[in-house]
Amino acid sequence: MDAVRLQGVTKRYKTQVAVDDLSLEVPRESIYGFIGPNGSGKTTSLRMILNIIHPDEGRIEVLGEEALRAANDRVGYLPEERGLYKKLKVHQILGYYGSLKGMSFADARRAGTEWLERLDLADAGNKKIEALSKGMAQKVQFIATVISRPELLILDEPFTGLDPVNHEVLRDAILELNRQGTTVIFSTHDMSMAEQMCDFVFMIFKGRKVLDGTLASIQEHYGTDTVRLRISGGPELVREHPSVEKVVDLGQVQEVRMAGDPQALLAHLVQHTTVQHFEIAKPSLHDIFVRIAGPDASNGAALTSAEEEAIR
Amino acid sequence: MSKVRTVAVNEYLKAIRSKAFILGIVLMPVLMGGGAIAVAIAENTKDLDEQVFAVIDNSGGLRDEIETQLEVRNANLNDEEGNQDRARWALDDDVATGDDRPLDEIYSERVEAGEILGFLTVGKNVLSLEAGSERGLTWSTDTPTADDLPDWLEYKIEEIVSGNLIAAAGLTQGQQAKVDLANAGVRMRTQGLVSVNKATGERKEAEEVDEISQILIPIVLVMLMFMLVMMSTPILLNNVLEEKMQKIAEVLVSSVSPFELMLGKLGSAVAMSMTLALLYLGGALVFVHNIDGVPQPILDALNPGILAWFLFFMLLLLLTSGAIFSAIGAACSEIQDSQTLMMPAMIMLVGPLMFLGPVIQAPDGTLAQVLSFIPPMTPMMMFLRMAIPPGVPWWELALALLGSTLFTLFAVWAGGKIFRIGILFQGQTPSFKTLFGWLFAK
Repeated sequence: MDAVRLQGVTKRYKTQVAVDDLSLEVPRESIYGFIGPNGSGKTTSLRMILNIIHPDEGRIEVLGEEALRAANDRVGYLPEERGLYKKLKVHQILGYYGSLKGMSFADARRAGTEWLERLDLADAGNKKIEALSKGMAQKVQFIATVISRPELLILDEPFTGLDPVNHEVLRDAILELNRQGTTVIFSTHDMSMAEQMCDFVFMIFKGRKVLDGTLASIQEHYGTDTVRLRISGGPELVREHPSVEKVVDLGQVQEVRMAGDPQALLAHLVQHTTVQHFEIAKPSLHDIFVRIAGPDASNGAALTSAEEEAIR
Repeated sequence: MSKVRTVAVNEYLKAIRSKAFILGIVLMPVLMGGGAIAVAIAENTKDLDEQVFAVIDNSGGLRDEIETQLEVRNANLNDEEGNQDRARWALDDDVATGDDRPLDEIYSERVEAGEILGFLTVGKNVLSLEAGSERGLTWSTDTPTADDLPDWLEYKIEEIVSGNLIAAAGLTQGQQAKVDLANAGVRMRTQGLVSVNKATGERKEAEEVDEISQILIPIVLVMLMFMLVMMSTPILLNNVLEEKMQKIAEVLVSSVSPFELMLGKLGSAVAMSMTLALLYLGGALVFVHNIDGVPQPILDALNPGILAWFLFFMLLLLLTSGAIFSAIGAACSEIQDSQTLMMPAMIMLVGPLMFLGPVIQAPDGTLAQVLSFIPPMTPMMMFLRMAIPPGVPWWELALALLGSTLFTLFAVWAGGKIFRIGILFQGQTPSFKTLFGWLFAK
C-alpha cells in the first residue's frame, strides 16, 4: 500500500495554477525525493499532503486516510523555514510539539531526552532556544519533527545550513528511521543528496510533474549522451567539436552532452591535447534538472502517461 | 554623516511607502474625528424627554417655591443656538384623591410604573430659621444614579433657605458666607422606594441609597472587565504575528487545524483573564465577608448573581476581541501594519468607557438602551445597566444576550476564516477587500 497517493490534484491561487493535475504514489518505507526549481509547486504539494491547504480538484490519501487531518498525528513535518519559540527551553518545546501529536508530555519528554543524547545535544535540554547555535537549533527542530515516531516524515530542505558533521548526523538519523519503517518524503535542491538517498525522485516544474521514478529509470530515459572528461587546455577545445551540444564547465571536470559518437570526440581530443579522464556516463540528476528547468530548456512539458510508465 | 543621511532617507521612504503609513493618513483623522464625535455625543446626548416628579410637602410652603423656580428653569432650556439641551422637569399634578394609602406608597408605585422619576419628601421644618436644623429632605427613586434633578432641587432649596436666613438675620452681603456654612443642614438624602407586600399588606420602608454599592462598585467592575480583557487579548496579536514571522505557525498547523490553533489561543486568553477575575473577585468576596462592619449594601452589590453575569459578559468580550486580534495578527506580515489594523479593534474596547457617564446618569434612557444593543458594546454597557438600579427589563437582557452571543459567534467564525488563510500568507498585508474575500474562500 502507498503511504501517499495523489490523484489529479490541482491547486490554483486566483488565476495562477500552482499545482496542475498532479498524480503521485509514494510507496511505504521508501525515501521519495521532491525536486524542482523555486516556485514550481513543491511546497504547495507538500502542504496539500499535510492537509494544511486543500486542493481545488483531485483526491489525496495519506497513510490510507482520506478524511481531513485524520492522519496528521502519524505525520512529521520539518518545514523549509525553521521556527522555534526563542524563549522556551528545549525540553518544553519538545514536550509541546510531542503533545500536539498526541503524546503525553512525559512520553514526549522521555523521547526527547533519548533523541537529544543521540544527536549529541544531551546538555541542551534545559537551555533556551535563543542560547543555541543555528546548527543545534536545527537539530532540535528535527527532533521535534520525529519525536512522535511518525509513519510518514516530510522534510523540506532538511540539510540547509548544516555543517558537514551535523549533515552526516542528520542523514544517518533519517536513514535509520527509514530502515525502521518510516516513509520519508524530502524536498531538496541538493541533487547529489537526492541521488545518494532517494529510492524515487519526483520533479515538479511549473506546477506539473516532469519526472517520477527511480534514479536509474530516469537516467535510462535520458540516455547515455553524457561524457565526463578532464583535459589540459580547458573546455574551448571541446566546444569546437561539431558533435558537442553543450558543455558544462565544473572547473576541474567538464560535463559534455553529445549529439554524436563519443569516440569521435575522444579521437579529436587525443590529437590536440592531453586527456586525463574520459568517461561515458549517464546524465546526473543535476544535469537532468538543468535540462528541464534551465534557461536553455526547450519546454517544461509534463510527462505523458507513456513516458511515466517507461520511467517507472 | 552621509551614511546617517542614507539610513535616514531609506528608513523614511520605507515608512511612508508602507501600507500602514498610507492607511494611517486616512485612519488617524477618521479615528480622531470619530473619537471627538463620540465624546461630543457622550457629552451632549441627554434624554430630553420630560421628567416628572412629585413633592410630598410636609412644610406646606415649599412646593409653590419649587414650582416658581421650575418655571424659570423651564423657560431657559435651549442653548445659544436655540436647540433644547436640557430635559424639561415638571411637577406632578396628578395628586392622588380618593386613595387612603400614604402618599409615599402611592408615589412609590408610580415610580415603579415609570410614570414619575421620583418624589421629593420635605420635612415640616424645612424652612426653619434656625441655622443647621434637620430639614428632612429625601429624594426617593429607583434610579439613584440619575442625580441631575435631585441635585438641582437640593441647590434650589438651599438658595431658598439661605435667602430666608439672610433676610431674617438682617445680614449684610459680606456676612453671607457664614450663613452658607450654617446651611449645611440642607442635605438631600437619596433613598429607594417604599414597598408593600400585597399578600400580607406589610409595609417595607425605603432604604437609603448607598453610593459605594450602587454606583461605585458597578463602575469598578466595568473597569475591571476592561482591564482584564486588555491584559489578555491584544497580546494574541503579537503572539500570532511572532509565530507567523518566525515560521513556527507552519509547524503548528501541520499538527492542528488553524481553527483549532486559534481556539487554543482564545482558550488561553479566556483562562488567563478568568484566573485573574476569580483571583480579584474571590479576594474581594473573602475580604468583605470576613471583615466586620461591611455594610449590607456592599455585600448585596457583590452578590453571586451579578458576579456570574460579570464573568459571562467578560467571556463574550474576550472571545470577540480575542478572535479579532488573532485574525489581525495572522493577516499581517509586519508589526507596523498590525498596529494600524489594531486601532479600530482597540476602539471597540475603549468606546464603551466614553459613555459611562451618560449611561450612569440615565441607565434606562434611550442612549443607554441603544448602546447596550450594539453587540461590541453590549458586554460592558449591559452589565453596567444590570449592576446599577433599577436594572434592566428581562426582554432587553434577552435581546442583548442574543445579539451579543450571535455577534461573538460571528467574530469567532470570521476570525477563524481570516486566521486560516492569513497564518500561511506571506508578503504584503492584505487589503480589507482581500480580507473580506477570505471569509468566503474555500
